[in-house]
Amino acid sequence: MLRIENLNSGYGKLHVLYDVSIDCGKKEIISVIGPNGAGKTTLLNSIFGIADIYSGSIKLDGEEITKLPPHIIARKGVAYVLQMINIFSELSVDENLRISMALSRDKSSDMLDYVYELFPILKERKKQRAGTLSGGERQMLAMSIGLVRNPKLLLLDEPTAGLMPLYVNLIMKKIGEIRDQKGLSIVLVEQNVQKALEVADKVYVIVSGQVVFKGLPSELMGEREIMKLYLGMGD
Amino acid sequence: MQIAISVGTFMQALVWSSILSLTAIGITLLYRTTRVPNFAHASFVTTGIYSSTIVWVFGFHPYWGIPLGFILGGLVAVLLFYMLEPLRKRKASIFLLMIATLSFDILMYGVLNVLADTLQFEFKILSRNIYFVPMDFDIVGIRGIVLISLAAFLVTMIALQLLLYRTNLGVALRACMENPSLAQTLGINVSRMLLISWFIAGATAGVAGALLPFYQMCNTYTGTYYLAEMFCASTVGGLDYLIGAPIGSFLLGFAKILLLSSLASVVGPDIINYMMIIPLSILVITLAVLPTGIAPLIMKRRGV
Repeated sequence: MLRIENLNSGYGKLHVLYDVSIDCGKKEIISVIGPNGAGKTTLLNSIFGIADIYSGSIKLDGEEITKLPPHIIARKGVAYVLQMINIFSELSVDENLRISMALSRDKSSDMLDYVYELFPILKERKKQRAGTLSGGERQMLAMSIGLVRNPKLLLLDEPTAGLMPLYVNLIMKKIGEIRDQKGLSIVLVEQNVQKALEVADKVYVIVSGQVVFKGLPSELMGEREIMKLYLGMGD
Repeated sequence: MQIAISVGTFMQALVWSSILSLTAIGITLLYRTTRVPNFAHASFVTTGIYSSTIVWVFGFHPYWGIPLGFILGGLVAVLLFYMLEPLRKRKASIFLLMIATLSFDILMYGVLNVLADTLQFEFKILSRNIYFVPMDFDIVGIRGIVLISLAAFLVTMIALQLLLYRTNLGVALRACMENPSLAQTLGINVSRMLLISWFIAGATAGVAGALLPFYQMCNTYTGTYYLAEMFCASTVGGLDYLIGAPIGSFLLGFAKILLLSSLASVVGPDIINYMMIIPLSILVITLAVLPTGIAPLIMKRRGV
């Protein structure tokens, strides 16, 4: 689904990612973890055409999307759920979803019903102004805005940041459900290592802009040094 | 006689408010989409003034300058968009973008003066005293400019309402106004939406400019002269809502004309030299009481 090879990217003269290679298969969740400032969000920004790409290649379903503008990448079936400012706060919950649907190529999809089933609280609050939702509800809405477009690939940037544990568990559970029920590929950037490992099929650890580990979550658990040095886990 | 003067003053206020609305809509639209206070709006208006002058020079009635003003005003705005876009992409500050609009306005002032000189020397017209009031028509005692300026304002508002709330393009424009970063993730070409916003803003200002010579004598400085009033109208109405532009314009337009008329009968016609005090005073008072303007108050009461 998504293949990144030898990616070097950043912002202007600020080189952030160095020779990063990542694969995400169909119906697969890959978790990208690492310390603050490692370049995790820059990876998503690079996939979505927001960061500057110096060299390397990004392919979606075998098609080169490197250096395409964000709106074209979105139209190719990539949905990016930003960490911050990820909803239209002045509009109602329903308007947020309908705007996203109206701009989608696949207007006939049943994804609106699906997201209301996935997050029933949003249906209860559909007439409420989005800016008045709680942190967890905002995050559900942000994910739903991406989902109603019926994407092939979902990029999630720290969807549980700042949420209380109840919502963290719920959001992570729903991410797994989305993959299983809709067959989406998901790139999940996450600070909560434990939760990220629970839901992931594959995991990448990025430190200082470089991939220092790739493999199965169970394999990472055996890498005591990485867990301790970079992820603050283990003894 | 007294009643006739009152009706005339009311009509004058209606005309000025409609024209002011057409300019303020663009200022509010651009502020909503780009957050840039556009000083070059003055040039868009003056481009409209000379659009009606050009059609008149070529033998048509100056009202035919309205469609030409729409197109030329829009094109001048698009030119400015292409000048600003590289700066925006390099994440230039709002202040820098604002200064760039001011520079463009100065450049356009020069271009419009060259045009005025050309019209004066080649076509032998007084191109710095553009005044079409004597050419206006009457329908049952109502001057053409009253009907046409009101119609232009209403058509613009209805068209904008339909565009923004009934079309996908409008949905995309609203998404860009609210949150450009998020709009981008939905597949919206933000640059194209900005281009469309600039065209609409320039076009409506161009129409306003084309109507102005039927209201008062105009020259190459007229747009700049009224720039502060245009900003006052947008700000008093509320920059966060498009409907704020006509609300502010009608409040300021009527207040200015009616107050001036009343004061002139008491202290004499010299009061006209101080007419800009009225919109500026209303701006100060409104901002002291309602810092975000009038529209948010109305919209929140309606639950919007």
